[in-house]
Order: sequence, then C-alpha cells, then structure tokens
Amino acid sequence: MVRAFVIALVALFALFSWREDLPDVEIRLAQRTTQAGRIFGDHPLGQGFVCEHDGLHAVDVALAPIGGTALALDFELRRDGPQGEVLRRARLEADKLPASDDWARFEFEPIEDSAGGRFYFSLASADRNAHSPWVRYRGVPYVVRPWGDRALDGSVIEGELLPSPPRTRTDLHHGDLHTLAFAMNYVHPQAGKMRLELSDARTGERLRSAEVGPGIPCDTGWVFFSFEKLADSRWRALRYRVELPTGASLIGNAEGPSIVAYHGGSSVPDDVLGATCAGAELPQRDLVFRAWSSDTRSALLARLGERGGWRIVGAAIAWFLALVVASRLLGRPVEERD
Amino acid sequence: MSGLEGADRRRVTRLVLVAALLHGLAYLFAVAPWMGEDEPWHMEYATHVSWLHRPWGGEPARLGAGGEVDERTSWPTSQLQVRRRMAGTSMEEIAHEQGEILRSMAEHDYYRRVDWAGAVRDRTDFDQVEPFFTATSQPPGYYTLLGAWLFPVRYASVESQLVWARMLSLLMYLASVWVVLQLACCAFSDRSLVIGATLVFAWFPMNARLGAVVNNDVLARTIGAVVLALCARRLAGDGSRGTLVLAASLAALGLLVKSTVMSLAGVVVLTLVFGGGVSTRLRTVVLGLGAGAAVVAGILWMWHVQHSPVLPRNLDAFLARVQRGASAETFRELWHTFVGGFNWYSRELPSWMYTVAAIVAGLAGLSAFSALFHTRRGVSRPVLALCLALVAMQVALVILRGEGQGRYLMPAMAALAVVFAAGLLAPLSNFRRPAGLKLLAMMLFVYDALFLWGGLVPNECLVWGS
Repeated sequence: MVRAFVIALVALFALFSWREDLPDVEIRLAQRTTQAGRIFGDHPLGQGFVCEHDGLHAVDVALAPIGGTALALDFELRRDGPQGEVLRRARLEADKLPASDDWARFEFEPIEDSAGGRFYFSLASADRNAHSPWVRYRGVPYVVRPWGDRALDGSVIEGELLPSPPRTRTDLHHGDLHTLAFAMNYVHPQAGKMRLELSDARTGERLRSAEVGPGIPCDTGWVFFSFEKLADSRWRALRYRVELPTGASLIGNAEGPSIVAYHGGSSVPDDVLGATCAGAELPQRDLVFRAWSSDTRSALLARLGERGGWRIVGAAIAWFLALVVASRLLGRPVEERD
Repeated sequence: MSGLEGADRRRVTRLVLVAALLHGLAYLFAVAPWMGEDEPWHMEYATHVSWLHRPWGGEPARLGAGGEVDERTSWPTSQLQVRRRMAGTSMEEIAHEQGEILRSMAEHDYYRRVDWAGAVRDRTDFDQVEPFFTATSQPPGYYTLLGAWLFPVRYASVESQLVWARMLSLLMYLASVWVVLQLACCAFSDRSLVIGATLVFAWFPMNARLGAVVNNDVLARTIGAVVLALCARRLAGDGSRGTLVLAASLAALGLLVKSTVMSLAGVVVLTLVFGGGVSTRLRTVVLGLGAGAAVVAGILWMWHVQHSPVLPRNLDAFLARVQRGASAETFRELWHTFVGGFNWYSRELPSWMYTVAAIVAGLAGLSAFSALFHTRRGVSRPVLALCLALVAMQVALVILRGEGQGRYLMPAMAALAVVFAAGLLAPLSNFRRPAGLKLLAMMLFVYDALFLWGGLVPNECLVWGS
C-alpha cells in the first residue's frame, strides 16, 4: 500500500508538472506549410482569440526567419478587435527574435479578468521584416507543389492541375475545392488586385474566379484565392490563370508555381477569431500562435475535469488499485509465509 | 520446476490477472475515443465484416486512365479501396460508415488532439484525414474476429461499437499476460524472474495501451506470445510434438493477421531444429520447412492480391525501403514510438526518458546475451536464446518494412519481457533477486506513472489545438 501511495505521488507530480506548460489557446500544426510573409511597415498582422482563464500574460507567435534584416517587432493587445481599447504593449528587439523557426514570446502585465474575454493582438514592424509569421488556412490542405526555388516572371501565369496520369500523383485529390494558395514573391502594398480564374481543362468552361486585394501586400508568403466550393474537383483536370499587378511575381519551380489546394470544410474551434492585415479581415485563416494565462493547479484540474470527466476518475481508481494488487506480487511466496 | 508451484502459482496467477485487468481498465478509461493509431480505419474494416460482408472478392474501381469512366472522380480513393476488399458493399454504405466515424471523431475532439491532422472538424471522407490510406490492404484475420465480436452490437452507435471493440483488445491483453506467465515459467525456474518477466509485459505502458485500442497489432502481439510460449514449452521438454504443430499452425494463421508476425515462422523453425529428438529431427525439419515454405508462399500471394503495402513493387523499391529502414531516423522513430508516443505519435515523452530507457534496455540486452555463455541459475538458455532470436528477427522485419513504428515490435513483446527479466535480475544471486524484483517493479511503476499521468492524460486531455 505504501508503495502504491509513493507511485501515486509520482503520478500527481508528473501531472501537475504540466501546470506551466498549458497554453490557454494554441494553434498546433505538426507541419507548418504556409507563411504569411514579411510584415510591412504600415500593415501590421493581427489575430483574435477568446481567452479561457484569467491572468492572460503572454502571447507566442510562430516566426520563421526568411532572410533580410531583422527589425524589432511591436506587439499590441486590444480588447474585442482591431479597433478595441489597447490593453497592453510589448516589444521584441531584433536580437531577441528567433534565429530559426521558433516561437517569439511577447510578455506583458497579467490581465486579471481575461477569462471569457475576446482579445486581439497585432504585430507591427518599422519596415519589411526578416521574420514571417506562420499562418494556418482553414481547410483540408493538399500540397500540389511545395515552396519553389525561383521567382516566375510574368504578370500572367497559366497552368493546369491534372490527375494521375499524366501526373505521378494527382494534383486534386479531394472534392469541394474552395481555395488555391499560390506562393508569392512580392506584391507591393499599393499594387492593384490579383485575380485567379479556374476553367475546365478539357472544355475550357469557366468555373470559378477569385480576387485578392488591393491593399494586401505580400513578400515571400502565400496568397489565398478562395471561391465557392467546386464539388466535383476530385481527380479533375483544371486550368488556372493568375493575373498579377505590376511588379508582382509568383514563386515556383521548373514545373510551375508552388500551389496548395484547400478542400472540404473550414469549421475550427470558436476560440480563434481569425487573422487581419492592417485591421482588415483576412478570411478563413489564423496566425500560428499561443496565448498564456493562469498556471494554477485549479485551472489544470478544471480543464482535466471538463475534458476527461468520469473517464479520468475511473482510470485513476483502476490504476491505483492495480498498483496495490501488483505490489502484493512482490511479497514472499505463500509457503514461506505459512 | 518453474519457481512457482502449487498454491503459490495459483495465487500469483490470480494476482497477476487481477492486477493486469485493473491496469488494462485504467488504460481503457484513459485513452480517449479514436486515439489509437489508425483506429478509424480498423473500425471501418471490422464494421463492414460485422455486417457480414466478406473481406475478399469486392469490386475493383474502374480507373479507365483516359477512358470513359474513372471512378476516382466520383468517389474518394479510401472508399473505392474498401469496396475493392468487401464483397457486396455499396458506395453509399461505405460513405455512410466513414461519415459516422468522422462525425464521432469530430465530436470527441480528435482534430484538437492530433497535431498533424489539422483542426478542421467537418470532413466527409477518410482521405481528408490521410490521403491514399486504408486498412483494407491488411490481411483479414483480425477483422474477421473483430467483425464477429461486433456482430451483436452492429446496430449500436459507432461510439458503443468502439468501446465494445476495445474490450476485445483488453481481453487479448489479459490472455497475453497469462500466456507470458506460462512462458516465463518455461524460461525461468526462479520465482522472482518469472514474476519480473510477467510484470515487464503487463506494465510496459505501450503494451498496456495496446489493450485499450483497436488495432491488428493487438492480435499479432497475442499470437506472438502464444507461439513463443508453445515453442518455449517444447524447448523446455514439456511439450509434445503436437505442441509444435499447434505453434506452427498459429504462426501460419498469424500471417493472416499481420505481416509483422512473419518472425514467428523463424521461431518455429528454430524450435524444429533445436527442439526435436535426434532421430526424428531431420525428417521433421525437412517436412516442416517444406510445409512452411508452401504456407509462406501462399500468404505472400494472398498479400499480393490484396494490394498489401508490405510487398515492395520491385527490387529498387525494396532496396530503397531497406535503406530507409536501416537509417538512424527509422531507429529513432522506432525507439520513441515503442517507449512512448501520444496522440497518434504527434507528441512524445521528455527526451531524457528515451535516453534512460535506452540505457536500461541496452544493459538488459547485453546482460541477457551474456547469459547465453555464462551460467545463470534458474535461466533456461535455449528459451532465452529463442527469445533473443525473436527480438532480432522482429527488428530485422522492421528494417525490411522500412517503417519504424514501435507497435511493429509487439509480436516480440513477450520475448522482450523475458530478455529484460533475464538481463536485469538473473545476474543477481538468488538471495538478492527478490530485492532486485522490487527495484524492477518500482522502475516499471514509475515509468508507467510518468507515461500515463505525465504523458498520455495531459496530451489527450490538457493540450488541445484550436
């Protein structure tokens, strides 16, 4: 019995050691594919979220250094949305920004009554920054062609999304295609609109079109063209035509532009409220971030109770009894005791 | 003599089974729905069997490359793959089953737990979770058994069916623990070693967790333990020739469950070679090898027609697979997912735990290997050699498969338990072994506590993505 209690204490210690490692809200991506691009001087990138607990005191943003000069990042936390009251400010100097793909932490005085509140943070830079936040687009992603090694010249880029064969792997594996993301080399903040047209590769019938901008700059990031769902996109042959404003260019490789296709649904948990650029909504996407609030044991237990419920209580009881019974195996044989 | 006799053996058996049942129940409660690796696909396969669809002779997809009809434009490939396997299923039925499982996965926050799956909840087919993947390329043995087990509850909700299916895994875990106790009695004539091996098997966390999820590795592990125990019995001189025939039959049957049990054929061959009497040995070996070769050839053919991904398409693919399998990265992944991986292997234990486990395992392995050449009281060298051989063959299979997933080692889990107990306890004097057993048990209990309450529960219940 004593042995079982000692082990149970180890278990409790192991469980409570997570107290300081539990983000309040977190976007977890095992593989980060799409980056937003550099932050432009007067176009801060932002993100909204709902806080679960009191004591909001830090926000981490996933940043990837993509070359160029690192500049300090200014962080602002507001209540409700981009136009809300500024609650906290923080700043990370250039030398404190991550040298590799990592989290950048913005810490501030705790907000005591943050539980249930809607918050919005933004990242601003004096000029184009060397760091790009990662972005998660809401959909089922399918990488047609990963980030390439060259800029593709021309203001009109055309190509085909094809099944297998002729491709070794089909370009469109799922139905309900609703977004195509293209890797963008550069779009100036004052540039005009970017336009995508999709048509049937065999009949030439125009199927969908989409526009991005104006006023949405991008430097070494992904641009998302979203349109009404194309239900019968599975293993289909489509032709795309991307029209770019003056000075803009795509990234790709010898086979064509880098493309990620997004299919299916877009419903995500309602504690993330979406990303913005210069206060304007960027639909269906979120910056990859995590927010930190209370690190008390009661917050941990509340979450455990809410998400694990009776299952965890049952597991704890059975596990402890198993220890008690197994410990009896370690005693002397019955003959010796008799 | 096994070191466990009469009333003590009955008492130990009873305690082992009760402790294992409680331990298995703890995992059954703790593991959230759909958190077993590939569980949705395994359930899908078994559910169709429970509706009395034969797991062979389905309708292949019409691909018609450039021709009139290409069904891939109309249906997800995962659903076409199911139809290719299951006789008499309709696409609507397959789509409905996938839809039910996907709905349940979303309701039980699968997408918040598995980091690589993405957070989007509304998905319509399994391809949208993992493209080009199906369980129906697996041999039908496990699914036939599970389908029969699910038959009485086939009208129940998919969640109820999942719980019922997991209870079969719990029963198999319990059966395996009992078999390992018998195996340990063949391998050791020392009480502490017998209990030590059984505890290692029952308390090894990833093995206990396998008693709480739906996966064909569950049955592969059980068959592995039974075949090894039968062969050990034969080597220990307790078994008749019928024991060996039973072991060979089970090993052959195992090939209808999962390719990872191919190593058991090696165990049977080794027992044939070293376990028979001198006079009958040659004839038995020749007959056994001939029959074994015929069975293996038949199974390979069956795997081929079932489009099993286990078989490489050509020599280049095979060589590439071996190269990948022998890489440091594969061994790292193998070790990490064997010692402890969570949320479909998207999260891990602290790195120091893998290092400590590697040191302990390395010491145990070396010590057990040295026991083949030095007398260790209470250790059957032939049985220990058989266990070490099985572990080596299992690792070799992983290399040939080119994928380092810890559960692929599970057919050799019973052998590993014997090797651990022999390696860590046998070098001690008889007088010190009970104390050594207590230390080993404490190590196992602490490992299990850190795994369950410092790994599994926090990762499944506390850290969710948005």
